[in-house]
Amino acid sequence: MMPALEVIEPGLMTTIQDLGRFGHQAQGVPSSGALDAGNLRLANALVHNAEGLGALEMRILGPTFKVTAGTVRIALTGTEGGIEISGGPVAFVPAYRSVVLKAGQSFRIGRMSDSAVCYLAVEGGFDLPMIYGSQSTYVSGRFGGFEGRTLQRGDLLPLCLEEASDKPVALCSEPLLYQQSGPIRVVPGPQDDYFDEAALRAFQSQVYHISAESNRMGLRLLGEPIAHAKGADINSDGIVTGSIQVPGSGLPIILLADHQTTGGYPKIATVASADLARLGRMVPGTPLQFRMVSVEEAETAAIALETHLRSLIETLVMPSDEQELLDHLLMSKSLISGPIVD
Amino acid sequence: MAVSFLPSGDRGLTVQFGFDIDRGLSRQIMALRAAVDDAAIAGVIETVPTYRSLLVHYDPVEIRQAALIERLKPLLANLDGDDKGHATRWHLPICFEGDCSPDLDFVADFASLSRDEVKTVMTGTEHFVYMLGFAPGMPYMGDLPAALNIPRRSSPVQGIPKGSVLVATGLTVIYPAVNPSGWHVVGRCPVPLFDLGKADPVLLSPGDRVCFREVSLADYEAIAERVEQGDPVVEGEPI
Repeated sequence: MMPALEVIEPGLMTTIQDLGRFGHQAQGVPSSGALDAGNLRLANALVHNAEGLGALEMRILGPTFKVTAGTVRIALTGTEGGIEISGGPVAFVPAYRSVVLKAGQSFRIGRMSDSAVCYLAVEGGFDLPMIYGSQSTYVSGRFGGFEGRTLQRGDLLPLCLEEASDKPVALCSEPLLYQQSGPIRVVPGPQDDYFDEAALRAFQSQVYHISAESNRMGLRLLGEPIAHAKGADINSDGIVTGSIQVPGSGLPIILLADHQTTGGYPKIATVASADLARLGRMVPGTPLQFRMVSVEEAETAAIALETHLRSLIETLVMPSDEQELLDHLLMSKSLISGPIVD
Repeated sequence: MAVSFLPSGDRGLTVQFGFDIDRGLSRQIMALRAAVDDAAIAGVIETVPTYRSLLVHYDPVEIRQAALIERLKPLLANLDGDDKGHATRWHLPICFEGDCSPDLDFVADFASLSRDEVKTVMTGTEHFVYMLGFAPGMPYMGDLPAALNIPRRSSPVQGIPKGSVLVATGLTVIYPAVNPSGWHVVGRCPVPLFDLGKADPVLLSPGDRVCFREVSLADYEAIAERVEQGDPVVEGEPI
């Protein structure tokens, strides 16, 4: 029997994502990829994968799976919750720790209390086609990932490995820390000159809220509309993840991973890449403010985040026996939010 | 060359050449794109040309924006505006019969031309791919004569079929997949522009030229049948 994860409950919006599809944006192919790339990389590292392998991105309400054959090593990141397991000796494994499950066992990722997205990686990755070098699902284009769509009940996600390796369990001693609070840092431009000073001030001073009509393409913001000084249409130019476009309504839209490659609305500012995952993790209704920073400051933040992530991945703890594992878990109580049976 | 370097955050740099849809600007943008490709600057991920600018996607861990600008300046100083070797000419079939061209009469009326004259414009123009966007593989092409500078509809029509050739605002697009559109459908092309069955799914690139040749509905269907069987049907010629 083919080793696979069978979808028992699909969750709210579960897709395969990796670090994105690059090199073909000039041909209109969006990059897609994980909204919280750091936690995707960490999840892969915890199951001994290359950091950029395709993994499951789960939104708000997680899925339930059953292991159909062999054994599989999995790890959850991006939430303080954990993996609820049935059919075996261990009933719960917290996030940021890998675990090996056997055929017949099922596991569930519940409702996330602290993030809109979290990630589940499997050792060896999923045996799914690559399109332009990526397994990322682009839902509106109906391609990538598993049949170009969100998971549905009964889907069988094929695994590359029939058995988990004999490598050790891995733990991350602290979760990936994005800047926890404070305004979202943005770099002005490329079309900040389409707005007058009053509009730029209103953009930076008001508290916006994330609309329920937000998805992987973009976050729509609710707030006081801001006025354009030179109209709301431009001849198209290129878009990056984090571009903040202001259409005729005057309400900004922050473009996320599934954004189109080009667009015809003026872009008042661009989110610093170090803050993109914070946005990806925000649920509808979350308040947010913007603070203008320089390109240099945003670049320095990006480099600092990369350094932090590298150090987390390089210092993953791999206990050599059960006792060392137990000791480690007892010492890092902050990561334990459920009973450990082994 | 007076260009503006506009930051698109800490992972993008927009090199803006102007504001309008203009072949002269586009030539410069394509030339910079080719020069950036050839220079293989460490940290540059990819570039996206549009009507007005070249967006350079970069990785700030490998190169800072200030250093990137310094690398681009000498390239800009030496642009020759020659895109030889970087573009392809495609001869694509177009069918105007049956339900392939629901808006052809409207377009002809608007332009005070006959149906045949509009068809002759579409097949007689070498369409230049300024950029792609909106959907994977969708080209924005110019330039149509002033008579065909038709405004978009005020509200889009749903479910425009794959392969539809549409015109508005002096430009022509071809739909790689079913999508809504406010443009006017004048014909249909059986050659897929985005085909996931191929290792390289997108057919067209920025700077390419598209020449349409009229085919009958019977020929359209025969070509569609060959496409169905995996025949590539068309081959581009390097410019």
